[in-house]
Amino acid sequence: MKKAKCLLVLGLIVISTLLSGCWDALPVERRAFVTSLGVDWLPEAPHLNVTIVHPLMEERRMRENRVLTIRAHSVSEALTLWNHTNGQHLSLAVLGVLVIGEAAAKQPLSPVLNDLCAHPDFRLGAHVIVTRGTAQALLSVQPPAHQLISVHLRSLLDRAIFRRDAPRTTVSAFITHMMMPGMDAMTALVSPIGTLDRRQAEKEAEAAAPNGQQAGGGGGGGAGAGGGGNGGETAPRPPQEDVQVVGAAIWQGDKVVETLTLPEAQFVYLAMGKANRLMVNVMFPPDERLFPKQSAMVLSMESVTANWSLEMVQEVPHYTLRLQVRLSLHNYAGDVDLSKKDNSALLEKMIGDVLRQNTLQAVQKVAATGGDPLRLGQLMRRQYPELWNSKEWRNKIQTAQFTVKAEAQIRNIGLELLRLEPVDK
Amino acid sequence: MNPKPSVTGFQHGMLIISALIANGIFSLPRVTAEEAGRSAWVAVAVAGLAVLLVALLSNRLAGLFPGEDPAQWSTKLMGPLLGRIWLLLYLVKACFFVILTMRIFSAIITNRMLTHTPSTVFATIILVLSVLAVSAGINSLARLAELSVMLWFPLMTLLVVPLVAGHMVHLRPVFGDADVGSFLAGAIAAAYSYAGFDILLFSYPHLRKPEESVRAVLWSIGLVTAVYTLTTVAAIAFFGLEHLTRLLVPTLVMLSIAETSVIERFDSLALFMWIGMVVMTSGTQLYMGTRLIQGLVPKACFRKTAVFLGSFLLIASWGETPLRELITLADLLGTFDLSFFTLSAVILLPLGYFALRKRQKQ
Repeated sequence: MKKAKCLLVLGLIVISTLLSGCWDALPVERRAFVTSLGVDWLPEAPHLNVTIVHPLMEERRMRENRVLTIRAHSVSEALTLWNHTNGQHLSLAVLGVLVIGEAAAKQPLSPVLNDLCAHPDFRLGAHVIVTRGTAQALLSVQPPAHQLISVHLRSLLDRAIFRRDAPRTTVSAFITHMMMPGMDAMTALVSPIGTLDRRQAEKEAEAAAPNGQQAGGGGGGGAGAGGGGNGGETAPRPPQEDVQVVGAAIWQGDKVVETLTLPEAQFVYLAMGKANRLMVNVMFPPDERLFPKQSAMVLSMESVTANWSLEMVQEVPHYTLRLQVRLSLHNYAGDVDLSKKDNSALLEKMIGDVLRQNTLQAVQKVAATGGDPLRLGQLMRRQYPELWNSKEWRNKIQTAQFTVKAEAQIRNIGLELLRLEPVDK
Repeated sequence: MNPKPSVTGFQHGMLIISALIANGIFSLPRVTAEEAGRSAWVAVAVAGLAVLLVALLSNRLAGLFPGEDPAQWSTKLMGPLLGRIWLLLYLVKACFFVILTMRIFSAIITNRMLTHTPSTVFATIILVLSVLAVSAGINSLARLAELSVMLWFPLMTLLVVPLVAGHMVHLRPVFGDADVGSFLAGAIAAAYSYAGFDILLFSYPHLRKPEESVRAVLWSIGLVTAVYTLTTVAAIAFFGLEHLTRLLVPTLVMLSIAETSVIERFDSLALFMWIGMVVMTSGTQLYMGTRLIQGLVPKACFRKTAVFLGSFLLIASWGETPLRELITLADLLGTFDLSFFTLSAVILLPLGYFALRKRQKQ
């Protein structure tokens, strides 16, 4: 019995060496948690410029080289180069944003995604963003109050969700849209913007003037980016300290085929039925009955129902969108009493017309690109499986005809019946 | 064998769930969708109903021999030679099952998280725990099953996240996306996920109230079928068919999408919690293997046999095998398992009735 107990204890000790799990132990200082990753495309080989941001680098480095860029043939090669230079174990587990530069977005993105997905800890919940200019410039933005750029970009998109002008697109959702015939991705289009602090801007512009474009600091074969500098520009300019959503990028498979302005993007979201709580600034044509002076109004969408239907006429798809919108007025530019039923009915009709026209234009613009963020191809696949040809869809959608019918219902007109202004003065 | 029946109907059901649920759930949506397309979730549900039918037949078979498990009644029913061949086949299946369960779990962990840790480490952890659970007897195993299932069950609420984020358009058309042959192939591909329900044959003799067994089989396999169907629905809705069929372990990828402010990587948490279920799955197979050896060698001591079998399986599972190869093997084993039990139930049930009538006449 005693011998058996001794053997058991011995066995447990031997097993404990196996169970310790020390093979993967790695001190935290040897880990680099990448929070943002940018991808830019350059015309000369090697074509990729991969920008990496991780918190330690952001905190320790100066504005001029707080991001690290590596030029390589592929993302994998770039990350390997970086690993060789720094000796740190790279982790993509907390990646916040994947920023695609304007030029890179026009090249196939699937090789980049495949390289990233090969990392076992790659975070599929990271957001995909397309930026005007380069990803390097966007990630070089130093947000106010020393916020990390990845956190700033994610909260920008999270805030934007409530206005519905840039619903976030995760890597996982992007891949699904990229792969599936009859649907494409639509991602937020952002741009760096300048600072509001004029003195700071002037100070930094002066500091930058003698040397022109700042460079260096990269390591790993790449060049560090200046504070928002775009390649080729030599004139000093105020550093960019913020980022804003400027529209949306329409993808076709793994390439961007068109960009939309923010108002256009909003109307596409309206056509998707995703525009609840959206605030839209709408221009109204002059009308003697309601808008004698001004024709711009902000409408707050409270409930949007978008029903798409499809009919095939001589093998040409005819799509009809029925929009039902319940909204409130954020301002009212006219001078008639909207509490009277006739007046409000007239305004509802006018709003319906404007929404119809704008939505139709936005949908037509999107369809003309061959991209399909509205998933109209999926409607075709379901309703007309015998006519569905996934390979031909990008051409087919360009010939599609669209009709939009919109009904608007005003829920709230505010507390003033008429405009508050001096009376007989 | 316990002299006094001690397993409740609830524990019996939990034992069945824990023996089933860890098998193949990570790859189930893909293997079925590859065959049955968008109708994969219907194929999973149909496979569940087929398994339920076989399980009910097996339950009836177990009911013909109160107080005995297959290790005891197989030789009585089929004779010493055929009975032993059947036991041997069953034993080989159980051993393969334990090895595959351990290796798949180890391969998933070493693929995703602990990339440098040898798979053998995880195999050792699972086997040591399984041997401990088995040597404590069926009652302790059943109680451990209760605990493991209850710990694991809240994780399934995470399926709501991909369901909400998914598009129902990916699920349509429900029927007609694949022909009948492909649909059936999808249902057969799901078989591995339902393998292990045969533990009911071994826990039946220990039931306090054997009449509760039918109800336990119904709700436990019904629940597993519902979980599998829901998982497949969520995976198709979330990934779409094109993306789903390119993912090795889609369920795990789906869990990695669910994020909260406190926990960002639910897949890591799921894997660690899953170890309880994997221990239960290998534990139930190890228990069956031990009893089957006792059927072949009646004088063998239960505990020593369990330790011996565990050690043998550890040596047999030593080394590294790529996950993709393991999943292919699992598909084959699943088909064999379902065929083996369907045939056994169909052939042995009439034989059992015949033997019962003969006993009654005597």
